Amino acid sequence: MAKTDKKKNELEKIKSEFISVASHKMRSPLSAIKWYAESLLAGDVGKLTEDQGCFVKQIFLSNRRLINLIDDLLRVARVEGGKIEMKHELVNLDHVVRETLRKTKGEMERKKIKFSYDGERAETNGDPDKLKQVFFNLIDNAVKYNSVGGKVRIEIKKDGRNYLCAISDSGIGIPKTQQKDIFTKFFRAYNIVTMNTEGNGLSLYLVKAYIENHGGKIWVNSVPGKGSAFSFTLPARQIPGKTKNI
Amino acid sequence: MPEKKKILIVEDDQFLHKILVMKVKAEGLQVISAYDGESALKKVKEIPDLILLDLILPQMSGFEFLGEIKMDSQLKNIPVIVLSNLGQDEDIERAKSLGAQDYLIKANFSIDDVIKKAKEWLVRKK
Repeated sequence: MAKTDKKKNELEKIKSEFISVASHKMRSPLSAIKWYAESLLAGDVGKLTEDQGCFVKQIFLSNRRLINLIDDLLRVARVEGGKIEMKHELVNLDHVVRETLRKTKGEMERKKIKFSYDGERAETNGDPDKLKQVFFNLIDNAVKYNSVGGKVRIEIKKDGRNYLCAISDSGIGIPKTQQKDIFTKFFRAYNIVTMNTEGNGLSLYLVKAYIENHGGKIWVNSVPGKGSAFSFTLPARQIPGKTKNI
Repeated sequence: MPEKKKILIVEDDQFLHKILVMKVKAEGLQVISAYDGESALKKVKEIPDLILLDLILPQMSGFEFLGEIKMDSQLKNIPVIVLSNLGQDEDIERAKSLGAQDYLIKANFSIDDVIKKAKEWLVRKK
């Protein structure tokens, strides 16, 4: 039994290293495609016709999708290889949320999303980049799988020694039978596969891994056709010498 | 007429090199090109105002190049922006500890962002 586990771990390690090396190698030609497409769209070598512009835009967007997939595969390889590099810094969650909102603002405006944010001064010890990724993936999903004019709500409140964070939406929801699989790798619910949205089925897997690395946990409540609420906990920052949390 | 600012571009990928040269020249800047670490070490003697440096290079890696110039009193104050597709924290920290001023992951930054960053460092250097 122990021998089988050892073999399995070795294979897992080889797989993770392969993904890591292959991903780095793939990024170079993808960077070239990205920069040349940007240059063409900027008209650096002459003005494009409308059709040419559309075609180059498609090349640019497909390439971006591939870069995102590779970035996520690299992150998954690190998670599975037990190589998550965690920083331990004081992180202001309000700043993290506001920075994420700046990134998603364009898409929220395009979809006329009604948005609300109810946060309080919340600080945790953790990795700012990983926490940004957590909030970005969840808010991005809440917008992506929502309808035009839908709602997105973010809440952060103190709950004992933790902060309870919730990101809810009025989107398409997740079928009841599939909710248990939502945090597994490459999972995509059957009701979103038909939607014309980008997604590689890795974002929630990474969200769960990062939250658990911070000592938190995540769960989902969802009603198909009405929306989903992703809730997670993060330990509140402990002040040495004090029994109460801030 | 003021002399044009010089940027040393150290990049072994010919396609990325070519577009960087085109974009830098379009800004009215002068380019010095190197495709590997060793030739970069020779060309850096022309004292550029800024270096755009890839890390995975033939002959001598970008890390080694960085280590060499930061030990040279004539070269150590030239700002270096690393342009790499190595994105792990340990790579970023290693480059910064060797003296790189900035670190951009090529696949995640637009070419215009790279040029903007280069111009910011040229202004700071004044």
